[in-house]
Amino acid sequence: MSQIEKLISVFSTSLGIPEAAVTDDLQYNSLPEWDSTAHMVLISELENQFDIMLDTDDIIDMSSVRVAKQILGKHNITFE
Amino acid sequence: MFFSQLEKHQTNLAVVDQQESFTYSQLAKCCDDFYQHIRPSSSIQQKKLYVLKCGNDVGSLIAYLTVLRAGHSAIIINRHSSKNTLQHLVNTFEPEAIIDGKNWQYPDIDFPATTSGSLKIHTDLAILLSTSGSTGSAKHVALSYENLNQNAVSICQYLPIQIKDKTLCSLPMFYSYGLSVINSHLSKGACCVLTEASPMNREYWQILEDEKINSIAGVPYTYEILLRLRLTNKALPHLRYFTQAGGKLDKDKVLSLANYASEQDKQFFIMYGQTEATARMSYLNPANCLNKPNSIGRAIPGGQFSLVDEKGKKIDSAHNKGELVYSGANVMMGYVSLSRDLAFQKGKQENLLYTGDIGYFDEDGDFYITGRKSRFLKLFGNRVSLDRLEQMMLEQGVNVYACGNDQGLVLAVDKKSSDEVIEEQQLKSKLSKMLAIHHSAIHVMLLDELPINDNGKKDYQSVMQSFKTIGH
Repeated sequence: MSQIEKLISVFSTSLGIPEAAVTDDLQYNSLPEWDSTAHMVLISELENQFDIMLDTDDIIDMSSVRVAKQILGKHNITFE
Repeated sequence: MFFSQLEKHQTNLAVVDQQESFTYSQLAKCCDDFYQHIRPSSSIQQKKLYVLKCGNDVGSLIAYLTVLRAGHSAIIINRHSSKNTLQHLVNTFEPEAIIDGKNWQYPDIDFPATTSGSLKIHTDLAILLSTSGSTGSAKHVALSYENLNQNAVSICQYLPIQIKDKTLCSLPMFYSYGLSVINSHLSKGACCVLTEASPMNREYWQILEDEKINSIAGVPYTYEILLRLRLTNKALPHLRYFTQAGGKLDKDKVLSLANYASEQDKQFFIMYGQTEATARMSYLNPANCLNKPNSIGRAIPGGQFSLVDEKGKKIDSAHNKGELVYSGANVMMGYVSLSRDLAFQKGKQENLLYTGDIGYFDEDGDFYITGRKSRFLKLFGNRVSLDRLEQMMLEQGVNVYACGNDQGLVLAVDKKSSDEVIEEQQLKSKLSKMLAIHHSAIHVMLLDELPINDNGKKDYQSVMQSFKTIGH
């Protein structure tokens, strides 16, 4: 599985939404499925799947799929 | 009582929110001004009931205190409650007015047409709080002025609240624990910093540092987030203590927090309570957090615990399980479901509360909860009545058994009960929306037949058994 496929799969399972709905523009709190509880599940899945440790600011800042990619980029995970 | 004696704390800072801050004298003046908006037009002095739509802001606090100071009663609800919920409340309790005090100088006040104006309300009745968040029933807990005051006074005796303290009030005001944080600090003359921000928001952490917050309060879910956001890596030098109630926090999380507290010279208070007891019934001595992380400790000052067996006989020996019974001046007046219940003609119940929780005490007299007699779950701090859920599903033509534990809801569905094909994922996301609970905490099993035990009763145990065997 490529990194981008992995990312989409994590978002899709954590938020309980179809993979097709996972676009760069998808934002925190923009749909009922991405609420604070789901955000915690998402963070924990990202940490497990990509084997990283996110800090307080990363977790709070992760307000969209696009930003998630940037934050994972800091951990040397790239999506191109 | 704390609400009638605000003036006595004079120039102490009383409340802060994003927009404004007031001393106790100013807060009292605001309440007097606010009263002009809600004062009944009739000259006859009659006790009224108001619905208060609340958020965590100064205006909501002013509205609440004003109603108490004037000797009226209030149903305290979430500002964002649905129109249906509100209409239901109006039909059921015939309130004088519905008030949103957010903009306290020009409050939003709605006088419903249906109010008869002849509501009989018991002189002691202060507030009504809902017993269930998501499954929406009319049943409310009725608390007296004395209940609110006694619990606040008792809390001040065991928590190290100081007069110069600032506490962060992030739990909702319409939730008994959130309200008790406010009441106890006003009772002491300390300061409430009100916010709608959760630990998930940058604002929450900003306020912690900027306002030099001395104490925080949270439910298990709050601490799960705080831990995940690495609370334990932060020194927060002003934070002296933090409290947890509203359900059982996992043992390993209790230990993480207890270790953090001991390393950073802070105190961690685990508490136990129910809305039926105004808010709080017990606390664990912070010195015992590390060696008794599963305990709820002992009754708060002025309260008393006992255990009774199935026959109602008192249990006197350690490690024997029974239903936890609490007595104290903070035990509610009773439940109300109709407007005529507000008169409490049968008088107040004795100060005894059968908690519905099953537990035991150890040789030191510290209590532990092991289960629950009645059928409801607490998921992410939301109370879900299993019987009510079954009924709601049945109304939609689906026969289900609802069971589970505080980690998740398990729903066994009778496949043949509906004409339509029931799809697991679809049902999950529907329930997730209906109960406002993350889908990961909802487990659905489609069965050909719902199991019945030898007594002809619903066999929840076998449902839980097969749920565990299919690998959860």
